[in-house]
Amino acid sequence: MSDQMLERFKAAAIQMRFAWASVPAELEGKAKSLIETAIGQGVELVALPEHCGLALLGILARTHPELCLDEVVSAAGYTNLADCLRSSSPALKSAYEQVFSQLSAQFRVYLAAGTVILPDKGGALYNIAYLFGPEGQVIGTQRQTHLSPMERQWGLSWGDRLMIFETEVGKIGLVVGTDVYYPEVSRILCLRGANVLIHPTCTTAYSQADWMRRLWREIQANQVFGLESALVGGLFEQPCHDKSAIHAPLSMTAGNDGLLAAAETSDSEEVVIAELDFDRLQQAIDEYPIYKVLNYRLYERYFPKIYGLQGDRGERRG
Amino acid sequence: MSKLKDWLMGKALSTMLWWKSRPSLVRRALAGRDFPRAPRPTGDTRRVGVVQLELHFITSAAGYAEKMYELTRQAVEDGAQLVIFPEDTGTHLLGLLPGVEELAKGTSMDEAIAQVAGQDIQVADVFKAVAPGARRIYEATFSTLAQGFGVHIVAGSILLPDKRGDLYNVGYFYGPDGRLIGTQKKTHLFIIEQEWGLACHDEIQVFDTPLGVIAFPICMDHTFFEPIRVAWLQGAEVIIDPSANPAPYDYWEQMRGVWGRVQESPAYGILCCMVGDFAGFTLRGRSGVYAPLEMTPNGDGVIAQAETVDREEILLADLDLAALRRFRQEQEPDFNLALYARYLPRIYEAYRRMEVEGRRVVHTQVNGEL
Repeated sequence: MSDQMLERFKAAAIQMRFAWASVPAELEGKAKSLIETAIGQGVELVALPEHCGLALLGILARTHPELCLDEVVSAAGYTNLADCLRSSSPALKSAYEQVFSQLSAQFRVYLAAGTVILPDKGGALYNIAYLFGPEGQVIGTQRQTHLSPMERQWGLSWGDRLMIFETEVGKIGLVVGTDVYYPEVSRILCLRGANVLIHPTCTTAYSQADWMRRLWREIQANQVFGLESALVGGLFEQPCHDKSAIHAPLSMTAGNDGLLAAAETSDSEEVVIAELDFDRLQQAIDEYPIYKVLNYRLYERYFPKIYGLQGDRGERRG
Repeated sequence: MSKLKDWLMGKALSTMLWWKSRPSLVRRALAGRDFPRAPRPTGDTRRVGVVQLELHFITSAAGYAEKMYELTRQAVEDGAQLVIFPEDTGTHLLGLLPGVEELAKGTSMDEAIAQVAGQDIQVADVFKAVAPGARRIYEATFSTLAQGFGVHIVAGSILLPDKRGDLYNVGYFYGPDGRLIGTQKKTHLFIIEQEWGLACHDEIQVFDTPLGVIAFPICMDHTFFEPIRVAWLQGAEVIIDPSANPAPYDYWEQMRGVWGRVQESPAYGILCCMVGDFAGFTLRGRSGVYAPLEMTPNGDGVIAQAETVDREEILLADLDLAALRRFRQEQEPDFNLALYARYLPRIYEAYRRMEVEGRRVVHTQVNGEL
């Protein structure tokens, strides 16, 4: 893809409440109404939250919309999530791709459609973020590259590649869920040329400080735009809480707080919209060129072998 | 070539500095003073005293020793076992240069120097000129204080040339016997320091002490995850940021530093700020003691912070090393070595090739080669 990049455009980070879809049309309808709100304001790029694709497992919980993920899995007769996902995967994959391909084509919009958990041919499961183009095509996917203890327990595997998707609406890097806690990910993406990081997320531990240690921190460290789209409500036993936001370097934002726009609540549906202006981004970088300070010799001295030290210390896991 | 430059490089100045920086001046200034002993490290808790220091010119060895003595004594009297000073604690000693007060009136260091000395004098020249004297006073002062109080001291930093004449921003760490435990040179230079002609170092040190494993990369280093990750992977438990930020205080800007780094690399983080108005600079900052959110009472990653952003004060906090070690076992980062091996460090060099005449351009092509 070598489309000419727009100099400025509007983007939306959608905060969506989790609800099981007993048929794919239910997820489509729900996402559609939110995307429509964004489109009404001239948005060209829409981001949806992490795990929004898991709503399609609702087929297994048809009569029990109040169940959380674990309960749905066991109600459907599986002993664990991984088995459930593996056997549901052909239907889950095609339903997910169909729903979001249709929506992006219908609105002629770039759609970072959150994530869905799918196996590869060997059965290894990945949390995968999708990016759809305005023709409904899959521009690309990004496997999550780091796992939380819970995701390990679920039996997920991690990817070992980080992709940049060059589009009219920026050079997009997808920072999937847990990856946001590992600064290596955003750094690699931005060194490769990403200028928009999209972060689908889902957390039960929202606070301002917790929010600041996630995408906010990465955007300030790397000076790009950031779309943070959060799932809220009841996928897990603990409800998810968070505030979706559109980030930029501090000097570009009114309160010097790094926020172009943010959700007002941490538990209801909202469409957060802001304009991304690349000339202004360039100006912010020129005024405070952080990457000029990078110390190449230091990184060459230590990376990647220094990571091997982790196992050498008794207090750490080998 | 201005006369002042000749003078800065000349014999008369170095003789004068040598005379003004005799270590005996430091010892004499501190002789007969009260030196309460810092508590020995026992149990799991270590108390740190963070000196939020004001920057101004000090014209004599005795004046410097007395100032640092007062602050160290206050911290030790309050039970500090580790006393921390901010970046550029050596800069007070520019006051050794006669006529240097003129610099304080300038609108910027560069302009002031140009006015006093002419265009061909660089900021680095002034620091190099004062270095032989400043170094002796700095070393004698903090070594004497560490030994006298039986306390560990992270003594901020001083601009010093190495044998080749390259100027570095160097931090010193003294043990309770007064001996130098080690130094850390700054590895990421603030943009103004690049313009001044400072050199940057490429090694990160950690020091295993009875107060935990300590690292103290300097100021701008904490804007980057890399040096802190390197310190952490070498075992750092207490990550200290001696800082001198020449800017008005801003909460959001400050939170881009060590607070964020210890969320990424779980450890105690200590920000120690220089404050004051000096040579055209407005130095502000709120010193703080930080930890991963889960380890702090309000869940905000803050254990303690200074009351002011512009005044001298001493911040005290207790670090529970056992709690940190437990936390790090429970919340062990799960590194993806295959991912890092694929991209690090090659991606940095690939990025550099993408720059356009040394400038990062947001519209340039994606790096497809990796």
